[in-house]
Amino acid sequence: MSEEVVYDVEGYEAITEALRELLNQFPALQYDDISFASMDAESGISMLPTSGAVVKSERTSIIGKVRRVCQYPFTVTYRGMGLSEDRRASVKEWLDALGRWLEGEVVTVNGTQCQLSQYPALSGDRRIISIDRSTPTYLEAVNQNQSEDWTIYMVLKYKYEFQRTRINM
Amino acid sequence: MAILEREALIHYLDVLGANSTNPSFTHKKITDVTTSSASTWEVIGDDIEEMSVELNTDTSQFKNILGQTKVKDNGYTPSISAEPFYADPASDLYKILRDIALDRKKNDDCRALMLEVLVEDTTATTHLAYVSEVVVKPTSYGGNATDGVNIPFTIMENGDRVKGSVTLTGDRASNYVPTFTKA
Repeated sequence: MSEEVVYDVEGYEAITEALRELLNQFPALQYDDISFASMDAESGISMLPTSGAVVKSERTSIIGKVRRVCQYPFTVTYRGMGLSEDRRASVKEWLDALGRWLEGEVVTVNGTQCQLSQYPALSGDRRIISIDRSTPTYLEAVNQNQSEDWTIYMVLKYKYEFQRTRINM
Repeated sequence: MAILEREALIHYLDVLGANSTNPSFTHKKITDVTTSSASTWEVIGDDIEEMSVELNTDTSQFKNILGQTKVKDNGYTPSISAEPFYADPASDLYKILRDIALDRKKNDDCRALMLEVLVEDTTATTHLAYVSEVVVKPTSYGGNATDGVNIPFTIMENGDRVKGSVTLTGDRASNYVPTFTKA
């Protein structure tokens, strides 16, 4: 029997906004912005949530406080046309560096070491715990116009605490 | 049949004295609650999913000279294991537990008052309550990298226990402010 999937709808909106802002602070992002769910036919970088924000675990304390751990899976895709072998390698390296940076590792950009000091604060009682790569960067698609989509899958985990409405006592 | 939610049974420790230069339990005797300055009750269980008062009954069965089975009842030695308790510097109870654990305090420094409240009817103005003299002992401190610093503790009854009632301001166990009156 499949388990019922519970979504954190408000969390999805809060995370999407914060994540878009965070991605665009990547120090190796020089000329382009990372857009949300939209790209030109030939080039661009885009972030796309792969599902909603899903509740992975929930605990209720004896005084009625609910603590949820939720996941927000997303992809970042780099699209390019006519990529040379070297360019493909550098695109893959760039996306992998983005992944490492989001995980909190030190990455080197133009000879300078960079590290994400903290995840952005979210509104309300939500707090980002971690962002981790689910896959390394890989060639996800070659489109009809021969542009290539290089993609990395990531998962953002966050905590959400709230006081559940008392139904009956 | 309506069953009481777990949130209906609430335990507090009196943390008056937590913000002094030497954070400690100030009230140690029940007379402190009933005759002196107001207590500051901090609710226990913010992080706890399951907690019970272990009554630790002390009974034994024996046969009398008439061949009847009898029970020798020596009463109870109640205790509570409160785990986990994650360190929150904003918590008054944390400040006291921290000092007991790190300064290896014992005896009188660990004596405190516990308030036990049973909210059977949220619309009632007063609720059944007991204040007990207790000893509070952190059992360890540390924890894993994910959850944070944990200072689980044990509460053991240590002396008198009086029945009374409380009035509660606030709307939930997490934010009730109780005022105790001895019966």
